[in-house]
Amino acid sequence: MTQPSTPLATPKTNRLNGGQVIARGLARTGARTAFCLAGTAHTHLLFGLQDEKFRIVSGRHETCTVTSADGYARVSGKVGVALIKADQGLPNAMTGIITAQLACSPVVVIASLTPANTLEAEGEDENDILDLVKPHCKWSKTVPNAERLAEFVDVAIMQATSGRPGVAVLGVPQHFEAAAIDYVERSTAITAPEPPAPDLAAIEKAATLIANAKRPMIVVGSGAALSNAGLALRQLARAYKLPVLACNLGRGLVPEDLKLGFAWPLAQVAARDADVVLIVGLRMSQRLGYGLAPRFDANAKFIQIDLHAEEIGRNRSVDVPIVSDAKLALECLHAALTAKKYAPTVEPTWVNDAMKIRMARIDELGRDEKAPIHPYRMARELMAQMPENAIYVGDGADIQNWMHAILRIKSERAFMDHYPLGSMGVGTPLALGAAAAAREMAEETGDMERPVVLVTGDGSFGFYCSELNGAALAGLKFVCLISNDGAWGTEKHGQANALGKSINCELGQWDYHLIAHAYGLNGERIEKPEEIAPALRRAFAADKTTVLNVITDPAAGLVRKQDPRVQTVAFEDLVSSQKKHYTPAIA
Amino acid sequence: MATTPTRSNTLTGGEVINNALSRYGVNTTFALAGTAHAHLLWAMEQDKARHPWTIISGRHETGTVGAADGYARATGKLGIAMINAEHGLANAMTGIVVAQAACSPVLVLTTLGTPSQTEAISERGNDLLDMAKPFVKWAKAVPDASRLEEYVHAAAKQAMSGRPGVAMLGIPHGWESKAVEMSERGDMPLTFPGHAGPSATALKAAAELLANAKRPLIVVGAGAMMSGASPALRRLAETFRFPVMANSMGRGVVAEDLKIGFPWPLAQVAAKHADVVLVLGARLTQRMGFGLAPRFAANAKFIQVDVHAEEMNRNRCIEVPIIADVRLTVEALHTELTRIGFKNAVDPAWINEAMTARIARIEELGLDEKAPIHPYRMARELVKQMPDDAIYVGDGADIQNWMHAILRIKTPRAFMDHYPYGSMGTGTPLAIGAAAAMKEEALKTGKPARPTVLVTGDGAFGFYSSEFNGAVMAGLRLICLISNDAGWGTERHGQIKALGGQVNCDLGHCDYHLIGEAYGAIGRRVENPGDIAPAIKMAFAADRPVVLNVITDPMAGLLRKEDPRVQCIAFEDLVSSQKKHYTPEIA
Repeated sequence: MTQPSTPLATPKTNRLNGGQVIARGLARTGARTAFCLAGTAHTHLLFGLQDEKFRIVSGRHETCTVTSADGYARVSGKVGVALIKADQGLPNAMTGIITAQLACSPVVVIASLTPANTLEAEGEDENDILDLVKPHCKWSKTVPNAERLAEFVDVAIMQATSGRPGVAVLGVPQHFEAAAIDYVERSTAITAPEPPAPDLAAIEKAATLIANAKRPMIVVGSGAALSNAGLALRQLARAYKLPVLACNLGRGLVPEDLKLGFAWPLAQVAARDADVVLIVGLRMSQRLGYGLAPRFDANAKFIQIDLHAEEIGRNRSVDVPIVSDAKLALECLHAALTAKKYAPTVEPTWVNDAMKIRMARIDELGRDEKAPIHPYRMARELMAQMPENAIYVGDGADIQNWMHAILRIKSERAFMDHYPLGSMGVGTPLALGAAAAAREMAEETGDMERPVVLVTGDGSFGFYCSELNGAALAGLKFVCLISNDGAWGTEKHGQANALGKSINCELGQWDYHLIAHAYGLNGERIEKPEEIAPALRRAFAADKTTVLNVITDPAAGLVRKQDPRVQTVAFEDLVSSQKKHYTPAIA
Repeated sequence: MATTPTRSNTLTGGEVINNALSRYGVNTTFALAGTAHAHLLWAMEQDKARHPWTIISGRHETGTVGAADGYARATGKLGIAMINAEHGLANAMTGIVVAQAACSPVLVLTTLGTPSQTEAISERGNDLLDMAKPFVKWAKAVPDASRLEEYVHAAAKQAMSGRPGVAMLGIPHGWESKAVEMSERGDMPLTFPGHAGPSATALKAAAELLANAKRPLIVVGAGAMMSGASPALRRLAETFRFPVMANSMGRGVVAEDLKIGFPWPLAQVAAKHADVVLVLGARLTQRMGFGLAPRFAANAKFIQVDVHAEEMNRNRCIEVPIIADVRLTVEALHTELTRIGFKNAVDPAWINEAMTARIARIEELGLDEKAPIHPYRMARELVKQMPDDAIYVGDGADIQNWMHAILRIKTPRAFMDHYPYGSMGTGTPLAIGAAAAMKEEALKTGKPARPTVLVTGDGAFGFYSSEFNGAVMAGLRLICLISNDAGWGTERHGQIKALGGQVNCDLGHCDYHLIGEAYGAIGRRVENPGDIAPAIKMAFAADRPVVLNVITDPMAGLLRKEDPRVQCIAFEDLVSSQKKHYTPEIA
């Protein structure tokens, strides 16, 4: 009998269970860590992921499962994978989902759904619990039958990662994961589309504006990092002496040396002196003073580069809108400026001039050698030892305000915080996810593992402190500094400023380091300024996570409410900014 | 003629809300931090001579809402929670859905965003309450500051009347400090609607069924407790020898002496022998086997009493549905049964007979004097020392299953758990709310506060452990026993049973008692059976909250998956129950 002829492309079929099918799809993203709370809801998927050489990182609250995946995505650039149970877990996960979605993090949440056989016609539970999450994420669907698992997983991944990234929530009826499926492996991988390039006419206009500017400024956000625009941005900035003020994941694309690279929170006082402003991959939202006066000059010319057309001209009209991938646009802009033979000779010291008063004030504070510790002292000690390639995770409110004055980010993908949602406490799972990503990347490249540092407040630490368990179980390490002022500091001082006293803001300067001990990790209580440096040395050298419970001055925060020189997080009012912008004579 | 007191013409919004809230006989409220509701908190503080408020501080918004829920369940009064929608509502969702599913009268005062900071192109919806709307009984934003009083009372009425639930009142930012012109009149008159009584025809039919029953059975849920039916039901049960099986908050409505009063989880094996079943304020849902075979006899006759008409015929046809208040119905039944000369039912020993096998099995287990501790041992030691009027709060999964076999509730409103929503970890805030209620009661009576006992698992404890901060600061009498089996026990054993192995269910025998200590509570790790009793004794005598970290046998739970005699929580499948019920010969 003759052998059958081999067709051109033989689909390889495997008899797999649904969990294995999902695992295959997730493995194709290149991710090798998944974040999961407990096990039953995803038993077969978890076993399947282990077969695909994934590490599973355990969580203690569903918001943390999602947010750890978010932190992993922000550092690695890969898809963050979070596995939860929908019916009792999705309400818990909401804060994590909204945090990741607003931060444009590519996260896929696989939510296991109760089998239909237990659904009551008159049940209080929603038929589709995913309705809760739909308005708050990028995409959300339930797999209709087990045979279509592979397809829906691929789509979820594509939705999370393409265009402006976000959260894709895939509902999977629990029993699909155990179902036997004839899995057909795709003969070709999905080709991700090339990112969109800028309209060159717009680039030309932008280049002209910059070339004729007296004080041009670039402001960058997460979009620039997500686009991997670091090299292009540095080359542009250095070639044309353009100061870069950065936010969020965009920090560190240009090292914050205070010559060309600046942290927006610290340097924003200079923004109103700019006559041409280039916004790259950033929302002109409250933190940016909406792009309006008084934060910016009402007469300044604006160029805005964003992948998402609807984002452009968000609160301020933009003179040169450029819908494009950030990296491509910056490369084109560089070429256009070269073609014009633009050759500025003057360093942008006008930025430093605008910052002079605040730098002097900052420099004065926190110099006391006696307890109680001033947050600036903690910050300086940290900066003295934190390696340049470390990943910094910022949580809390008051402490972040303090840290922004001292922190200098020198590497890419080295800064993240809870912005823009701003929900306290998510720093802990962000740090866990960042540490998981750092380890995975070190294993892939052979480079040294980047250390992770979490700086948080006592109020924020309380939300998700049990994620330390996941760190211990997974052998992940980060250094956690808690600025323990014994209160919801920002709120306390806000009330004191407004009402003369505060209510329900005191928490007590408790022993948070004992929580680290509870989970088998290192923890120390630090009360004197001179104890900080040796404790940090121990923490950086240790082989496990360390929590440093730094007892800081409860009264320090009051000056921050009263002295604008030490305010680095501004909460402008939109309506009043509009008045100052459009009718400055009257406002 | 008494004149209604007139008031000052202009109050702040906070003062208006405080005045309104003070009319509900509630002296405890639950708030996370201070800024969002600063002026309301301030008004409460200023008014404390007339109406003292205790403010319990929370560390996570589900902790805050959950504690208001626990307070409501313990007292029958309105639970009042204060949060901020922008950053807090997503966090609060789990607390909200748990309270709503449990029909708890909870009012959530929620500050909304600042309109002058709301951007046209915002990722968040204009109405921040949208997230919660589908999941609560009522949610509205106050449309005008002059209507704050009206809306507070409308929200409270919605929360408390008919079938109670969660009412969310949105308060636009800034209105609590706004000056509100009050008209020259006294406080708005309030309406407390009360409940309906039973139809005479239905009542007669019910009495007749009961009088002619061979083995009548009363099944009781939270609705009976909330109706205040305990004294009437005890009289009915004792006079006519009707056995009462109670679930969730219904437990304790008749003392669980295993003569007339039984816990549903333990005694449910007897339910199928009943020929007439009277259901009082309970949902015939999964935990009740849907009211169908095999849990109940297919040809039994059912009477169901509920205030919510739509609850009847939920999964099973009800021969005598009665839309009425449980207490009024029980009283009317007593009268009618007396009138027709019914003496008493057959000795309910048939229930004990049905339970013989399991009681014997339970008594065999957990008798070892050596470590590791069996959960039954922990349970027995607790029950020996727990006063009858203590409030028991059950959290976790495996441990609740164990506890149900041993626990006997003797007092009304002395049992609560995360049923029916079932979200792990919510027991901690429930317990804090209950303990706060006990403290409020103690302040009024001058007697020592009744203790609240939280029995939880290690998995569950990790969710909201930081809420112990508020418990310690408020000086609450709260004892927490953690059955620490080093994992998500129910899930681990489920996986082992299904697949022979487990993944992502291990948590390690962590030192959770150190978390209690971190927050100023007393913490103790208990490893030997002989150490449990002294630890519990210490806990009941302590002057502050206590966390007992009881190291239990990780493998004990395997038996529970295999031996139905020790299963107290059943997860029936609806479709297969329907088959057994309607076509038993085929099923």
